[in-house]
Amino acid sequence: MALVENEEVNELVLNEVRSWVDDGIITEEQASRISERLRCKGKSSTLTSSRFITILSVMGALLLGLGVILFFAANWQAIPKFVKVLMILSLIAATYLIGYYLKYVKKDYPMVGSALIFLGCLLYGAGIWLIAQMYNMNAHYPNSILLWVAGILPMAYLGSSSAILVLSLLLMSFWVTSEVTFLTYATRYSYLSLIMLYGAVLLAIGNRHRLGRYSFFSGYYAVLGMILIHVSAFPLTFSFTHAGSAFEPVPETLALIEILVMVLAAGLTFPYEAIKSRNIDVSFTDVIGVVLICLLAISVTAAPSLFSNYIISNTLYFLLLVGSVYMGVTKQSSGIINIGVVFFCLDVIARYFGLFWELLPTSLFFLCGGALVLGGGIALERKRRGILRALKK
Amino acid sequence: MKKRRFISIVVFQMTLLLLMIAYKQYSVYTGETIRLHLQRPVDPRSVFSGNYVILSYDISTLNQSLARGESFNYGDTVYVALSKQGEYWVPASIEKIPPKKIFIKGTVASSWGGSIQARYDIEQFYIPDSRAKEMEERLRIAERSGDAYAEVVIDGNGNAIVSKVFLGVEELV
Repeated sequence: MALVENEEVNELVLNEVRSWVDDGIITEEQASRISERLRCKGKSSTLTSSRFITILSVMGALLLGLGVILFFAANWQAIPKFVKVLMILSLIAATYLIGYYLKYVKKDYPMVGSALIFLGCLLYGAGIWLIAQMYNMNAHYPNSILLWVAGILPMAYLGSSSAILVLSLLLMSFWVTSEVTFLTYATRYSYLSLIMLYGAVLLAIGNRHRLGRYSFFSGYYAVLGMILIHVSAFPLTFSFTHAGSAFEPVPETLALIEILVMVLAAGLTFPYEAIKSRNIDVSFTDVIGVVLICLLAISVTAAPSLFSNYIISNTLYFLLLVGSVYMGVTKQSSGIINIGVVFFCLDVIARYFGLFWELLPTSLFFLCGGALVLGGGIALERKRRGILRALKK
Repeated sequence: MKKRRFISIVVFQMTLLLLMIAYKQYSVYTGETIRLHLQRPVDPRSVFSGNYVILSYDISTLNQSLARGESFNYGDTVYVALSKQGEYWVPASIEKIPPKKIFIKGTVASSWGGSIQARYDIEQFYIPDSRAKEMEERLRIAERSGDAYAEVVIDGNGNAIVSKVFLGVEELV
């Protein structure tokens, strides 16, 4: 099917496809497939170079943003406070407006335009820190992070910008982890439990995004959520995590927060659309998966003594690993599968060290360990590639 | 992308920044300036905000007896009524509700062994990058002599801003 023969039309279509990627309507992968379908293989290198330019532009924006933050951090006394505020506000407005003009009005430099809008988001953060510096503010520093996220998250959705979304999610995660340490009941168990619950909420939001306008955001939420779930669950499999802990009863406020978060996560994952359209294939697998992760997180605070049992904590973590890979396969997400495989490897290495460090002579320990890691690595990599190949098909 | 929506987000961000300024400027315009004696200023550094001095005041550690039987726990809001003794202002009582006389609002950081540690959002003072080394030396001298103090503006709601820091007779700028 020779859809497009003309060189100019080819270029036009490719330009349009590129702008769809920029607007977040389609992913890079989908764009490559479209160009292939249009027999524009020769031109698909344009998309690769456009990706390179995007990365380069984001890196440039990051460097510029860092430079501005450090400039204001230097706290030049020669510049009056009023001028500093005016400088940062004008800089933010100008960056956003030039970015908007290049990306949406002139459309000549869409990637540079995107990078400038991203830079605007960094400058907004710099503005918050500058004002905090001007008034010597230090009360509850996570508030500044939250203010930053509140300002830029709408921009991520409005501009369908993955870079701004990733920045927002990283800041949000930093805010949650900081805020949890300020809680009155911040024991090591409540800390791990709340981070795991936050991970489950991100996973649920990722799931909600799978269908609809922002489907390309789904992966970022789900992958970060899964990383946080594993990062908070993995330490429970080590005996030193439980050393010297007092298994205190769960405070009522914490129990309430945990249950509310679980309801929220389950609600976000619930397949309303499928039920509404009376789809006979309504699946509750995702809801069950998210609720099970939440129950695991809640049991960390409700019954911490359970996790101090080596066999129980390891069995539960192994089930979580299997569940993660299963979730990755059903969702066709290579990111989630890779996270499951990486943490599986880390778990095997940790258990090997834990079990055989004292049982085997040192030389034999390393020889066996090396063989295990090499052999296991090859086998796992084959398996992982096999799953990903099957997913692509 | 709709132009109007884009502009509304930019305006929203600007508004958040201006609200931050307005909130603090309100205290500056309406507040009263008092002097608080300092203990051991320390000079650390923050990636985002540059060099700053950590300020610890006499009013940072409060005697439980000033609470007159009331108990204060971590995270509680505390209203510290102040009275002037010589050049400096010192805590007169610790309350759970705003008192009638001049007071500063804080948060309980810890409470044990008959004393309450409180924070008032005046524990950080930013200094220029170019003078950080010189400041470190001056802070060391001030730590030994113990004659450091801060000028703090407190508004009617007990919100405070540290405006100037003095090491002896010299202002820390």
